[in-house]
Amino acid sequence: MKGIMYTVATFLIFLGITTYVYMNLNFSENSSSLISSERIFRYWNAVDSGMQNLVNVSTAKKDFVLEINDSLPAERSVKTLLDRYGLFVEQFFKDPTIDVRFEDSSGNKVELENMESKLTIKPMNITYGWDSWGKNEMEIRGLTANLGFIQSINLSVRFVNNTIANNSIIWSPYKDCRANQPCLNFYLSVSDGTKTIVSDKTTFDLSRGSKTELIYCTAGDCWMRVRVGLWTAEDPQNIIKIELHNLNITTSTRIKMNTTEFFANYPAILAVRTAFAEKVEFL
Amino acid sequence: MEIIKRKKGKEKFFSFPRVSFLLKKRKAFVITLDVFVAVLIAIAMGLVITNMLSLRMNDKLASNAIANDMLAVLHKKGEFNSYIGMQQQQVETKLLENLNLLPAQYCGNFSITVYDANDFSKRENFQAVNCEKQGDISRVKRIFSDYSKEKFGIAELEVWLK
Repeated sequence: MKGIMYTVATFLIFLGITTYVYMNLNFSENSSSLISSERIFRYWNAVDSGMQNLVNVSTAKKDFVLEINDSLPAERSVKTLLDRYGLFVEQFFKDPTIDVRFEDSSGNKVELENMESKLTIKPMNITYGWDSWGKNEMEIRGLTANLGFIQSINLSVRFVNNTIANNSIIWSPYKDCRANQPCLNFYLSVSDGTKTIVSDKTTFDLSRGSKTELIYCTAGDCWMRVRVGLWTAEDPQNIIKIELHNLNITTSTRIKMNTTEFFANYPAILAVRTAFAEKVEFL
Repeated sequence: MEIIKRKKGKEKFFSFPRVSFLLKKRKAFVITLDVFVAVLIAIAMGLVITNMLSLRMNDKLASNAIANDMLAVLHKKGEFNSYIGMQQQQVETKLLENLNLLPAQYCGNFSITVYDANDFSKRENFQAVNCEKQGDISRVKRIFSDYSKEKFGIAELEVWLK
């Protein structure tokens, strides 16, 4: 009886020690990769956040809506800042244990300043962008085939340090929706903090062009204009375009889609790599 | 006569040289169960002592997480950007206040370097420490940028157990 008890006790102790050693070995390996993974995640988010700050645009996705807050035109040379930021990351942020670089979709290193000045909403390939990083014009573009994903666009414009001269928004020409043609629900309001004017037209035929008359500011030669829909046969992708002249504005664009399955990113990849893991995603 | 013969036969058997040698020179090593249990207990005690390593790894994970969380929260709040253009003493006071928000068993060394975006040689350094460094130190850092002031910055935080 004593012998049996000894045997059982020995077996249990042996089993306990083996299990303990096995768990500890796994834990040590996992801890290193956990620390590395967290480091990659933090680095990626920090670099991404810094870059978004330089473009001076904030984006937020909530359910069906993508909200983009923007300011036009750019007060600083965004292209130069992006170039300097890329250098700064190379020289001061990355270290021998972690590699941080900007790439294109083929994995080739790119200079951040050469990134195209637009955000792409995928998978619909609808773009929100500017004529250049100077941001003198804003455009929302997309192929006719993908326009069905957009339920509505709500654009709120605010004049900065200026007041609105107009008392209403007049469309000339105005093209209302027609049967069997792509139709956009578009809500436009323009404010200067004191006065707000709202478009009374809310449905637009995208196969034909509509545009507002110039919306002037009271102080001197400055105005903005909004175009909706196809405007030239050479450029059949225009949905909305804002043109500016000597005027600073901030905009809040809310694009409501008919699905939650979308995301928006810049056309450059940020790759953060260590020996254990990597995070390679579009900005 | 017969008895004598039998005796002789016995003697003959025991006088066979090889077997006789083995029986005289035999040795054995017997592992009793008591010894085996004792060895296992000794190994268990050794493992308990070496368990200190895994406890330290746990601490490392925890202090890394705390440091990363602090930097992330301060960054998202816009704290780092607000320091740009402030007086040195003001910034360092704020850094010390942030260090005092760490859990009671932790100390830290918080440093921020702000660079001019157009000339990296132009930089400002701010630093605060709230106790002497000791033991395992976790180091994390975060990059930030300011569009309107055209500045880039690195915030570094070292954290250790008191």
